[in-house]
Amino acid sequence: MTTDLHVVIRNQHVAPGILRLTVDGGAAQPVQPGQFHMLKTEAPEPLLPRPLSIHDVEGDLLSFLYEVKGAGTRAIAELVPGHRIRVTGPLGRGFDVQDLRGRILLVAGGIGIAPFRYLARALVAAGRDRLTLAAGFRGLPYGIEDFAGVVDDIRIATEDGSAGIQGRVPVLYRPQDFDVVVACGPVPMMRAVQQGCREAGTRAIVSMEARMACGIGACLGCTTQTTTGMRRVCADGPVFPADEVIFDER
Amino acid sequence: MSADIVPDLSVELNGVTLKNPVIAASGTYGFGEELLPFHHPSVLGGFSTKGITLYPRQGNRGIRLHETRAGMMNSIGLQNPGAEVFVRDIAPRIRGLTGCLIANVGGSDIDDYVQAVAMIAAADVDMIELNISCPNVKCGGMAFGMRAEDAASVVRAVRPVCPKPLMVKLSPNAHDLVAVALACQEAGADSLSLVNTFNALAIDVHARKAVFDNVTAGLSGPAILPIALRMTRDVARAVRVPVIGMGGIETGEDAAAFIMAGATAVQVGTAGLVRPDALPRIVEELAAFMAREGIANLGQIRGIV
Repeated sequence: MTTDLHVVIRNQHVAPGILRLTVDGGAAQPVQPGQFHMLKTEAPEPLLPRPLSIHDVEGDLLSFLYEVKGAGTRAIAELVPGHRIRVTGPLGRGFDVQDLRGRILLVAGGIGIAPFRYLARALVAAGRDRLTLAAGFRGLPYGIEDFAGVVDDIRIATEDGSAGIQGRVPVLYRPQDFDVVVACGPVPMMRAVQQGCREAGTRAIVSMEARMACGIGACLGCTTQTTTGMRRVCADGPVFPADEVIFDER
Repeated sequence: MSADIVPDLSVELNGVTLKNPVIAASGTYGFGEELLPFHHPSVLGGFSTKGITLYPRQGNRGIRLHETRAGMMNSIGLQNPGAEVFVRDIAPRIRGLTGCLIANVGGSDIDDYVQAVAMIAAADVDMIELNISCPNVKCGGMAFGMRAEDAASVVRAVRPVCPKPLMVKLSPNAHDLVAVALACQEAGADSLSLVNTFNALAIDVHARKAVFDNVTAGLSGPAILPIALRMTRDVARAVRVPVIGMGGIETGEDAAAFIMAGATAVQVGTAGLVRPDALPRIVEELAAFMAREGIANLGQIRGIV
């Protein structure tokens, strides 16, 4: 875990409102798939850093796939190569690759696809050869090309029918066909994965998103309700067994 | 002015010597362990723990954080493992992390405060910081910090069960802050820390409702610095006990301003959330400022404004 300024190598759109940021890794340190970093530009505003999950680690380079949602990601989107950005991490508890075995399904909703490239590469490197990706998008898909040659079975759903099957991501799979389902996306999607897997008796793991301030477990601002009480998404997660998370009904 | 002056940053606070005046503020530094990957807490003057209550608390549901211009609002709601777990498990574990371990204690009513302080002050901590200023709990908390007589009643009640130095954390939302400060001093406070967060409101205009479930929440960060600085000066000029100033400190020069306003030491909260090395940097910047300005020790600038 370090906090340092990193040089922006690339920061390019891969789709409208979706960018991939690549920074010089500096003192490279091991990053677990599913971990995240806190990123903040050198400008005083916005005040707080933003958590972005690790999209890939290649040599000395770290990359992040992100959606422009508000002031923080807008500021990051304005960076050009040569600019510097403060990167703090790697943070949180990521995916336990050794623990993911058999028929593995990765379920992504929108920008929830971000952590799955690095996870898929790690799973393949660990000899897992039965990987499926089910990705849902509102409109045109993005980030799928990252899985070419890594995941053989790629399934796409779009709400507007612009690609793949029209509908939401649950139309793409039956939980009983898999040994473990790993999900990252909006809360309604994660709740659907939790429920579907519970009924099918399939183990499910979720990676949670949350507003954060410190990102290191100190402020208790990003907690989520779980079966064992309020837990910190940043430090106790962001990866949790799906059955432990109590999704907010709102 | 001498260019090679080596400034002495140490301060005396109720008989405890702090190596420098920079203390991590309660609620922003966990129990000190969370920061270990980035710096050792011993480089600071001390730290104040997450607020501890007599019984464990889950804290507030819903959104707990909201960023504002030059600040942030929080409504954590005193999530903590309770006094028993703190005394038995946490305090012994973190004792060695700092030369000044300040246990921040919250409560809902006077009995709560008394029982919690009695338990926690008996543990190996250096000071108690009595939180009568949390704006994010439904009963108690800030309610005791709003009026002088209420503040005095809780301080007077805990004083006999607190053999350790007793710091009382004041709310900037008090009707008459100087009156509350004086009342706490008369009731036995050994020092006063201020300010806790400003009670504030954010509205989601698209949803047409308040951002936070509790409607209001506490504002902190650089936006509040000038007001907190003025309040620190007001209180420091009125009381005899040491004042620990805080509110939006981001740099060593910000810390120096609070000392010039009369603070004995400072606390830093939000800046440490923004970047985990903020507090050690503030210590270094304050030392560099003092060296540059030929200030040998903080006594030379304390309360000069």
